[in-house]
Amino acid sequence: MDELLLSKIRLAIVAELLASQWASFSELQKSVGTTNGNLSAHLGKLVEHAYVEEEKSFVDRRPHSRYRLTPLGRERMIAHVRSLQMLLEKEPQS
Amino acid sequence: MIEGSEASEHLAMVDRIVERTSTRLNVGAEYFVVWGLASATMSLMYQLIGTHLAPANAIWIAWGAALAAVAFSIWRGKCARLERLSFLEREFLTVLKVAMMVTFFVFIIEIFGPNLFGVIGLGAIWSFAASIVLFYIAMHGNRRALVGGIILLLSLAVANYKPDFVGYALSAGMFVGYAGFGALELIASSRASD
Repeated sequence: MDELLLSKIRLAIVAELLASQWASFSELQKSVGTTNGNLSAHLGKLVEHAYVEEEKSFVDRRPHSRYRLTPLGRERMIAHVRSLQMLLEKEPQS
Repeated sequence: MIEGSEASEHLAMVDRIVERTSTRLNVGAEYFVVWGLASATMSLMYQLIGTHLAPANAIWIAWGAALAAVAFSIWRGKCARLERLSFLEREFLTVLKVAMMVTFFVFIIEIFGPNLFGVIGLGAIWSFAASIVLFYIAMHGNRRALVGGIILLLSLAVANYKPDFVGYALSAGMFVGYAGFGALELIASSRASD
């Protein structure tokens, strides 16, 4: 089980990024449905652990951040989902 | 650690997100409106010029419509954030590019010798290619695209059996089937965002 992905918000962020190449901060905020500060903190952790790559630029003189999943993030997400599935498979026996 | 019920909740959330993001097919309705109107104008102008209902120099209206559509596409392409594309949307863009490349190829060989297709034949090929694009969208659950594709095919059938009305038929097909599809998509998406 991946400790970083035990947070529901971080899991939602990574799931959102699975099918997209890049997603902006505002798109992620809309999809995940959380506050600016909260999303920023969770994204910061994912970036810090190299699960997510951040790119900062200026669009129409405004700062614009976009994010994408790294190969490590994808690998960890798949492994985490497998662990969750295995936990559920074992659950009825215990 | 995590409880079984929580794990189940997390997995259900991941399933929902992945299903939503990987099956999303936002087709860029405004392109259909602009290119549908431009194509309809071109076919109509060729018909009107061919039947002497419009002067020969009115051909510039057709070229103007095509250039306006190209200019719009370039401007819109720059504004669009193409990075937020699902895999399905990327696949759709590939189908659209192939359709446009086939039509462009015919356009090029047509310029050097209009022996096989003729100008209006090019319009028919574009209608045929456009119907494939619409049927591709329809395959992913869009009924409006299915209707649009059928309208385009019907316009081809009418154009084939009514040679005097080829331009009118192709123009109507593009106007209703292609631009109409785009307009309905725009209306549907604005209602959904309200």
